[in-house]
This record gives sequence, C-alpha cells and structure tokens, in this order.
Amino acid sequence: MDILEVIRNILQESEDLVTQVKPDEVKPEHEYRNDLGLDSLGLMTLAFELQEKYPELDETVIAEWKTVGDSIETIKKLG
Amino acid sequence: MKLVDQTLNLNLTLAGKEVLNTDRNRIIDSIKLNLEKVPKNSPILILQKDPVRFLYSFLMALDFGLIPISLPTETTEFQLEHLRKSIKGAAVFNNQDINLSKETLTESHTNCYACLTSGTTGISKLCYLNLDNALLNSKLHADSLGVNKDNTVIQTLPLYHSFGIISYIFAWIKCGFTLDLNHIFLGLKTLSKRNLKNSVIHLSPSQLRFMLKEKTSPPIGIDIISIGGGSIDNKSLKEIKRKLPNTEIYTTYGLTEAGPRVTTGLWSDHEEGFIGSSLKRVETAVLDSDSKISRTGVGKLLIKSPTLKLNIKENELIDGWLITRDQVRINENSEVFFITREDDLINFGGISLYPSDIELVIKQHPKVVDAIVLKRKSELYEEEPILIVEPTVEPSLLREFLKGKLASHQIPKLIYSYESLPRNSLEKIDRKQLYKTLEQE
Repeated sequence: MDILEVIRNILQESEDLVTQVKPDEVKPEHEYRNDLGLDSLGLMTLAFELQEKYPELDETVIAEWKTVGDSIETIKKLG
Repeated sequence: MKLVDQTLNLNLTLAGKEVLNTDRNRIIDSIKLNLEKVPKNSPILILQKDPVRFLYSFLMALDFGLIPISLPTETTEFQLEHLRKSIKGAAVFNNQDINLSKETLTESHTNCYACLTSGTTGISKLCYLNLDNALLNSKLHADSLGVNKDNTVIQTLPLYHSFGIISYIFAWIKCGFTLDLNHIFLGLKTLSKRNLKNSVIHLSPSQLRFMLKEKTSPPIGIDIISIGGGSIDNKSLKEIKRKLPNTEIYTTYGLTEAGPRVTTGLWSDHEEGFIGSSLKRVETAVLDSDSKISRTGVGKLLIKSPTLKLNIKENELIDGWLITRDQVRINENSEVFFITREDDLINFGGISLYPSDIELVIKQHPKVVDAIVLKRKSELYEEEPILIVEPTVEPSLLREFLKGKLASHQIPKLIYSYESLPRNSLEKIDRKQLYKTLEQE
C-alpha cells in the first residue's frame, strides 16, 4: 500500500479525524489546515497513527507539514 | 525599562532548544527595521507564524508606543483585509512584510494592545486591554498557580490568544521562568521525549482529552497542569490525576473581555464544574433570574476587575459588573462552578465560534438565500458547528466558497442544504425543528 493510501485509510477510520474532503479524494497537494480542516490536535492524531505503521517517524516534524505531499516526502526519506 | 530589554536576561527555548541571544538580537533587529517606520500610537495588526518572531514583534510594538493587535496564525487574506479596513490607520505586519496605512489615525486608546475574541470578521469583538493591567493580571494568575522562576512553562496553547499573551509572554517577564515556545501542540508522547523538570503546562479541555487517549507512559517532571477554556468533566480530571499523580492539577476560567484571567483553583475531587476562586483584585458575583446581583447562588457570572477591556460598552455592564454569557454557581466559600454557556456560542475545542461570523460569509454566496449555523456535541472538540443553507446547494461548492474567507477551524465540516428551511410564525428559522430533522439524518 502506498503512503497516500495509508493516510487516506487513517482519515477514513479514525473517529477523531473529520476532514472537509472525503478521505478517498485526498490528494498530495491538499493542505492539511486549509483544505482538510485539520488543526494541531488532528495533525498530532494523524502523526501518532502514522507512527503505528512507520515507527521511526518523529511526530515533531509535523510542524513543517503543510500538505499531504509533505508528509509523504518525510516518510519516503525514512527509507 | 523596555519590555524587549527585560526579556534578554530570561531563558527562552524553542521546542526545548535554547534560543541564543545572538539569534534573538538578529530577529529583534529585523523587526525593528520594520516597526520604526510605523507612526506612534498606530494600531498594528500582527500576523506572525513563527512564535519567536510573534513574541518579539508584539513586545517591540508595545515598546514603540504602537497598539499591537494579535491575530491567529491561520488568519486569511480576506479576514486581514476586512480588519485592516475596519481599523482606521492600522498598519499590517504580516510575517516579513510591513504595510503602512494611508489613513489618518482615529484610535484613542494608548498603552494597550488588542486581541480578538473569536473569528476575525467582526470588529466589535476586538478587545483593547491596558498594558499595565495585563501585566498585573499575568502576575496574579501565575501566583495563583504557584508558578515561579524555577519553572519551565511549555507553550501548548496559541501564543497570539489573549490567554497566551498573559500566561506565556507577560508572565515570563513578571516571573522570570524559562519559556519554551513551540510550533505545534505537544501530546504526552512528545513530552515524554523531553527531559522535563519543574514544568508547567496550560491545556484546553480538548488537549486534555487528547492526552488521555494517548497510549503512552506519562512523562515525569510536570509540576503543574492548568486547564481552562471550556467545561472540564471530572472524569477527565480524575484520569489525568491518575496518570500524573505527582502533578498539581488546576482548573481556571477566563475570558478576553475580562483581561483575561478571572478564577483559578487547585482541583482535588471537587464537585463537577469547579473553576476555582477569583484572583486577587478580581471579584465575582451572579446575576440571578430576577436580575438580582448576589455574591453566592446560581446565575450569569458577573466580573469586576481592574483588567476589564477598555472598549467596554454600557450594555455589557450592570452596576459596574461585566455580564458574561456563562451560567455559574458560587458557593459560600466563594468557589465558582461552571454550569453552561449561553446557547448560541459554539465551544470548538476551547475556541468560541460565533455562528453569526459564519452565517455572514455564507450568505454572500450567490445561490444561498438563507443560512443558519447550529452545533452538535463532539467527543474531542466538545462542540462542532453545522451549517445549514437554503436552498439545495452542493456542500463542496459552499466549502470551496468559505475557504480563504474564514479560518479553517471556522469552516463547518458538516454542511446540509434544503430546498426550504422550517420557519415559525414570525418567519424566523425554526431551530428546534431543524435539530429534529438533523437527528433523523
């Protein structure tokens, strides 16, 4: 499963993450705050969920995440 | 002594790492180059995404005799423009850019700053607060929590908020603790990775509930947690006490119009709704259903304080008391218990959303005839807005329209539309009937 699909699944399944765009329509260019409507609590929830799949992900990097694509790039770099 | 100068001997960290004076001076110099162009006594809208830059832009504006108006980092261009036009003579300091006003100053307040109470679409919700009183309020609040220079106060709530300015910026200057600024909200998991010692954390109820959901062993080194900005259930308070048995848990109450801190109390199995007692020099009372003012009993919370906003209107006061929208009970020990907030406000994770702010913008959509914003309970955020419009319009089109005109947290995630909305005999939208319809959905 590619990283975008993992993010879509988390957004679909987590009760705490209600987005302004349907999870299966989320694209890398979508901005977390402006397009999906996630706030800092939502971003932290997403980061913690991503850590279940990618344990080496440091959640403090989310401060630098503007778009979904930014998080995909961060995770890709984990190798 | 200037405020900026007073901070240079104080410890400042960003995400746990020391911000050296050389770095601070570099930031201060670049801000100075911009702010010295602004005429004295001008209001200046401050929008700074970086917390260190916000801190020093705000303080330097005060040192320069300007009136800083702190804006949420998510303020849109539309909102910024609306505010700029509403405040005569206002300059704008948007990240690196300074824009001066061509208009003549009409602002009469001096030695003050201003904060917004909620959305940025209404000038009426701008609260001007006297600087000296705000410094006093910050010290009284810090003292009520027992915060001192040996503590490290970790920023978890927005710095630009009236609460953030008092509890982080001014309390830092008055108490001399180490201030740790952060770009993001820190959950327990993130805090566990830090080497915490004598730490103090201010939380909103939503943040507290988030922390309780985290599956992580709690960090050590947190001396004090203070929780405010919405009703806090005893179940969550008991749970955090169980997770952090050596941490003192305080509940607090404040509102921007009051300057902002009003009550604080050390929580120890109090009855539901406990928000402590008045800070020194602040008085509380209730306005009961017979419009009688009493020191004890149940009613609308009234506040008397030297720190009330400067631009207070006569209809916001009764016999010198500020009338709030919150129902409380005050017992014979002067302890205050929060009951509920007046109906129309939406408490979205500690941020007050005004339905009228959202309705005002959506009604500008060419297809929308009428609109109303209701609310629903939310486990994480306490309450969430629901937008209902007349007639039927594709929700994605409405969402797209709202983007950029409202802050992202103001855009309702739940949007419904109907060909016609139920109305009562006065042609007003029937809210009760709408709630029933929504329940069936």
